Amino acid sequence: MKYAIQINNVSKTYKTSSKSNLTLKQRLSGVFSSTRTKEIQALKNISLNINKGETFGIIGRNGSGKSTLLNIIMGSIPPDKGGIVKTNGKIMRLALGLGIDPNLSARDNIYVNGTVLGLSFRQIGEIFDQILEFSGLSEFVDTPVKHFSSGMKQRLMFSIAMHAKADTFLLDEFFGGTGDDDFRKKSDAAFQNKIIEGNTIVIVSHSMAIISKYCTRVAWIHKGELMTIDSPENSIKKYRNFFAQ
Amino acid sequence: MGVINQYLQPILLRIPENNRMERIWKLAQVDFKKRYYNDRLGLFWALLNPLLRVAVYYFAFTYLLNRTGQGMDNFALFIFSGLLFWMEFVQIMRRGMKILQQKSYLIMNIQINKFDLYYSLAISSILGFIFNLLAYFIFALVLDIDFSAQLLWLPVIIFTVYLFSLGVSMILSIIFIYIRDIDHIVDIFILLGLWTSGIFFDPKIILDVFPPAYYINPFMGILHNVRAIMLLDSHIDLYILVWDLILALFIFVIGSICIHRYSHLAIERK
Repeated sequence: MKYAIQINNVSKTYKTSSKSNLTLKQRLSGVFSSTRTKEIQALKNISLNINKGETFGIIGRNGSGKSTLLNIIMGSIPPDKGGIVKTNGKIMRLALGLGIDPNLSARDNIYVNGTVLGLSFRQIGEIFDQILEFSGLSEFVDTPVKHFSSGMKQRLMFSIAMHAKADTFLLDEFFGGTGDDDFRKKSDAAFQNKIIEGNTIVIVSHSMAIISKYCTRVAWIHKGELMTIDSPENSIKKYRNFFAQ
Repeated sequence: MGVINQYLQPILLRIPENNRMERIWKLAQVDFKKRYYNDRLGLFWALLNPLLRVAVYYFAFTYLLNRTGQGMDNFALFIFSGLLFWMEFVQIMRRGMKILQQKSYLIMNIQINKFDLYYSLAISSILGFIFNLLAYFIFALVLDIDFSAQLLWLPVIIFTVYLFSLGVSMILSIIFIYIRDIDHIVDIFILLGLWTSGIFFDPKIILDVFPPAYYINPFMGILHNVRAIMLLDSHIDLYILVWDLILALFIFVIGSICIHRYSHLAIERK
């Protein structure tokens, strides 16, 4: 079995001190005072493998360590010593609102976000009209995005993200079915065809409906600990039962 | 930017597709655009602004303060050449210092090389710098300044300034994670540098009192060489050129090590 992501014995400890994030004045005035350090263990010995082509779900309450795990998979923060994260191919995290610059036009945002999402200028040029048409914003192509409604911004971002190029997508509360009725149907289908099919997907969501609909296996993380990896039905059942008690 | 694109596009199309390079260029282009296109005058302002500044210096120092004939005939250009390079350093340092926080959405969502953020900053700055340089040469030609082949050293000096500026901004990026109001200290150092780098007066005044300043403050040597080739039509000091380049490279390496080892803290302490 080829793995897209291998996580072995990954822990993450955040060290906070009473002097972290202090201003210069506070640091100077407290130079002789003792420093209280506190350790917060965000992840505790997590080991899991995500197979190539699999749609894997991660559930857990706020503060359970889901975002820390995604950051470690992305490589934006390192795990504690001893933890190993191996990834295969290009990974991208999709979250709604990613990178839309309100001061730029829709055209510029398509180019900027296109390059951010792994496309070359030529590729963006080829799909430029498709993106605009899909978003339904063709007549506002040179309007600064700050004049867009939040729905229009969402449509633009979603339409760009549908063309992202990566081997593995980490979907952080990002899925189709956004916007008005018309766009909802269209985006849901596009999400299924362009993102989910043929790629390795890791979905992080509080929506159990989304997790059940798309995932083949689901990990439940609670206070940094991996509680279970099981089928969506079983993982969600264990998760709900735990909090029902 | 349309004008720049018009000339760059044919060149860019010849370069093999490379998402990383294109992303750096696009981020730089957008950054540049945001700085100038919010003004009604747009790109025209990028050239008009430095031209007006040097014109103000000229009238102030020639007619109001009457600084001509005191060994510095082109005092306006003397100051403008100094400020040109000093302000470039200051703006790269200031903007680079907070770039990890401002662009954290990129670090968190795509596997971007953090150095690419600094490279795009440098490219965006150089686009603005070209307009300032253009304004300088337009004014210098109007004032009948002679230039020789020594001007060919200018790219080396510019490279040194960028290397040094990026190195300092990388180091400050890491300090900024720990001390959020580092701006105040940076302001003091900027003020100190402004008055000890020989921007407003001949650096000999400082060097007579403290000769090692020439080797400690790279801007003394940089500005000495800038004026030699851009104003006085004389020869550069090759020894100080190499020394400054080594110093800039050293600071850049230190900055790179800092980013490599500690930049993840910008995300962890967000």
